[in-house]
Amino acid sequence: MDDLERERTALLLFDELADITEHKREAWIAERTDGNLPLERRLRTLIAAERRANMRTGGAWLDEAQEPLPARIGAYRITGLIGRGGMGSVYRGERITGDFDHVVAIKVIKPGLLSEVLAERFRRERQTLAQLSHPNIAHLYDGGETQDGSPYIVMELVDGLSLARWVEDNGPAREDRLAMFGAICHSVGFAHRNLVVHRDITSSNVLVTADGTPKLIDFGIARAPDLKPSTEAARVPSIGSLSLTPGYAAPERMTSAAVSTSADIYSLGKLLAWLMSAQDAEFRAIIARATANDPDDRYLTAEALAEDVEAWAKGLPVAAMEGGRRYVLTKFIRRNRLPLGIAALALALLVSALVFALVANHRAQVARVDAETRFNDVRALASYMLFDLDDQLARVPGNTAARAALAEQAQTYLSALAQTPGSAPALQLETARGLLRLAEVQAVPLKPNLGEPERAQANLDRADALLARQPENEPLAQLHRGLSATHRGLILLHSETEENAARAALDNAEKSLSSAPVAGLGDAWHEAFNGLRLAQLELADVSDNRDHLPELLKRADADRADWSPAYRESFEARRHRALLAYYQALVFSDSDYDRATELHLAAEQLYDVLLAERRDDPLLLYRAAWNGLDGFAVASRAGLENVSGRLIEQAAQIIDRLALIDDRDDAVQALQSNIKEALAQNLRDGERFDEAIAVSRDVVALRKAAADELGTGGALGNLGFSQMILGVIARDAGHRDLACQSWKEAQESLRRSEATGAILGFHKGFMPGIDSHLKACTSGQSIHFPMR
Amino acid sequence: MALDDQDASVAELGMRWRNGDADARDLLIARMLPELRLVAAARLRGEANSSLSTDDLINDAILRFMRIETISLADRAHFIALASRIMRNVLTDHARSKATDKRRHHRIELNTRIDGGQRVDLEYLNFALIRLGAIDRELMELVEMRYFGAMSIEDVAIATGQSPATVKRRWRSARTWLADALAEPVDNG
Repeated sequence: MDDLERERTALLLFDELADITEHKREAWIAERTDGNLPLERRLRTLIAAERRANMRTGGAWLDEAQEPLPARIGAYRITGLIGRGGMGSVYRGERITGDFDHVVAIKVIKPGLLSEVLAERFRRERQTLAQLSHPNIAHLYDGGETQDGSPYIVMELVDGLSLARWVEDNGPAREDRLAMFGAICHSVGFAHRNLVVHRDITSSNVLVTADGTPKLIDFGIARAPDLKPSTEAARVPSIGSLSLTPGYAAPERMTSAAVSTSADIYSLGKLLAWLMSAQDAEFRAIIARATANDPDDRYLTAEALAEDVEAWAKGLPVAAMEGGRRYVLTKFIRRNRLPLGIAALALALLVSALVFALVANHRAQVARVDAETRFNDVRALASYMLFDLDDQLARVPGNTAARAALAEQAQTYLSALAQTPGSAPALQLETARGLLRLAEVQAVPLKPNLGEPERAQANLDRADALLARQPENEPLAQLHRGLSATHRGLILLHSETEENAARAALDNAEKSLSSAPVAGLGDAWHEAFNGLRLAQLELADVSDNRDHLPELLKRADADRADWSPAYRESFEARRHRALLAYYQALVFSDSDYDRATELHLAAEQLYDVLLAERRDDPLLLYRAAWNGLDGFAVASRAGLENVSGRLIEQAAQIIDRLALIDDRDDAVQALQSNIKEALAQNLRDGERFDEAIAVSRDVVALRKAAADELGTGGALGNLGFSQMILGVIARDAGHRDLACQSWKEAQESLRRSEATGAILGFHKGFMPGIDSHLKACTSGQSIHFPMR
Repeated sequence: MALDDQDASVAELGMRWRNGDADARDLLIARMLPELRLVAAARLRGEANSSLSTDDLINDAILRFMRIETISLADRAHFIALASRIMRNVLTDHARSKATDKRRHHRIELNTRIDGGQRVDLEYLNFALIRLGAIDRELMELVEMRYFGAMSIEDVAIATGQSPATVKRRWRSARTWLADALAEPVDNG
């Protein structure tokens, strides 16, 4: 079949496909393409092309009906049609009442195109947009909903050509193009400072009036699909997904990530590349910086881009080529920038901008009489950012990176204040608290974190230094010394696999906390102590000392007797109980599988109740996933296939949800590997060996990448473990060679782990089993005996 | 061109062309071409502030071309079909001449109002149509009639002698094929 014939056949099949009902299509395609893969691929390309076109035109693909013009919309009489597109129609209108000549453009979004969530957001955003008054931005006057529920906006009618036509028709000189780009950047920057992102800057969304003034249209109307994937709204194409223009849209717009101002910087970069035909290295560096794949690598602001372009035009050095002071400065300021997708983050941006201004002011006017007041303002704001705001953000998934940026920002202010000569001990304590919170977001295991143990430990060191200056018996200092030691213990345990050092740190923590007066500290003390108990339980579990668990759990139970009735009912206290229930199950995980399964199911119920209250609490999701994974392990050992299958599937769902919304989270990524590993074992149990081997190989690859990158005893141990599992699955599938080969590799990985002096007891426990299996491999004996 | 004197013969030429007379078709083209060029050129000079919108373009020309003659529905459809072809050539020529006198490629966009005001690059569209013509000539003509002639499904049905349902279905295929073909080279720079 040559190309032409294939095209013809594909088109014929596509034609006929219109009559085949959806559920019969796959079978029909298989039958009619009859194993001709290129033909099938071509047909599927066409099907996909139609789907895309449908998205773009809002499903009006074959609907030809020319709607009549509405007589009026809101307070406007419709006098003509300006254009019609996938999103809806744009009309020309005049004010019905009022004596002045007021001609406007009215954009009506098709009904049903916006989900409720988006429509609500559209309503809210209208307010912001209406206040956006700039000579280079088409003004938004009004908005509302038509009688059939279509949202509409009334904007300034711009009489002009698109930028594309302006360039094409006028062939403007280089200086004019530069001036045009500068004006566009400044208007975009103006909008960004007002927390509005354009989202779809292209050469057709910039109009140029007869006197050469650019006017940006459709500001903020394009909407990114930055909603939670599980909501209904995600299935309805958002305005943004309908309007983004190939070649201009930033990569993150395609992947549903929250859209920030940097998406506009990207589009501006594309626009610049199109507008100027320069090829020199400086220009290319500017384009590369503006359109970097990682939003963090782009220019921070539209103005910074404009400045660099100006510098380039004047032959001055451009920032995009430098790695020096200017870069450092932008990097520092970059920390201010946060995604604007979520209202809380917009708030955070405002707060951090405000604090920034206050600090700058404070430094400049430190000698003034009101310095004291400003000082306290800054301190109050920084502490608000670090604690109140961070607590709120912590409940919203996907915010780990934003929280770190926020904490770091606040920390900068606090440190600056703490270094001011004569700062009070109370302020130093507050700074220490801030550092602890920062370390927590950076790397304290068992909670969503960024996986940056070195930075976290450095911050713990700084906190400890500040705490050491506090009086020995100061209750808050004692409490925070305890917190710091607990964090350190967990980091040592998980990131460094230094069990003994971790144990020492936790012992210190217990000493500090026990000596602190409970009465004066209240719930904060209980919180800290609960954290310590969990860390101790974790240490016992990970260091393969599960026989210590019952004793620790007994002590945790005793702790609860001291809780105040109010604290007992708090969400945190109930969450703590659910976590304890999980460890309760671990007690029996090696001895009584049925009992352990029951306890995991009991813990699951506790998590379900809590998740019903806060369905997106990252910590809960994370721990619920762990419970599912460990529950799966014991249930499958108990032979309860139904239960184990359900548990691992749910765990996978939960962890996927978490990973999807927060891919910067190190802990989540590690757990994802674990769950995948379990999935492989479950497939093995279902005798779906080929799938099991495939998944298992994936896990080995993931672990190998991690081990190559980190080279730590823990990472190597994980690699060895997954290689061993691959071997076991291969053995059960009857592939003796693959089994023996995998065990050989597992042995090597575990020996390397052991050589670092930081092998986990759990991993070490498998070494004799692997050795004896390898002996059986070489001597040709049966390899079908337990690993441990 | 003084059309008034020749109205009768336009109808007559149309009749002969429909009966398979190729000379009659060439004569018709020769008559329509200057008119269509005029309309296209006026639009392309940027008298309107948006991209080309071919439905007005063709309608203006056809109406002026046949303004006195009471012409049958079938003839009208055939004329528009023919005019669509000519319009494609006029516009493509224009796009090419424009592309050669500038340093780099300048887009001339066709506002396919029939597709909800989408804009497609004329030159890309032309290349795609040449390919489509090699695969299925009828589909290419269908696109010409719809995009360049802004003909309704019903008009195309009359001009091609197919049922509107068939035209609609084939139009779906043609358009999908084009959407795929045009998706590849889309690059706004």
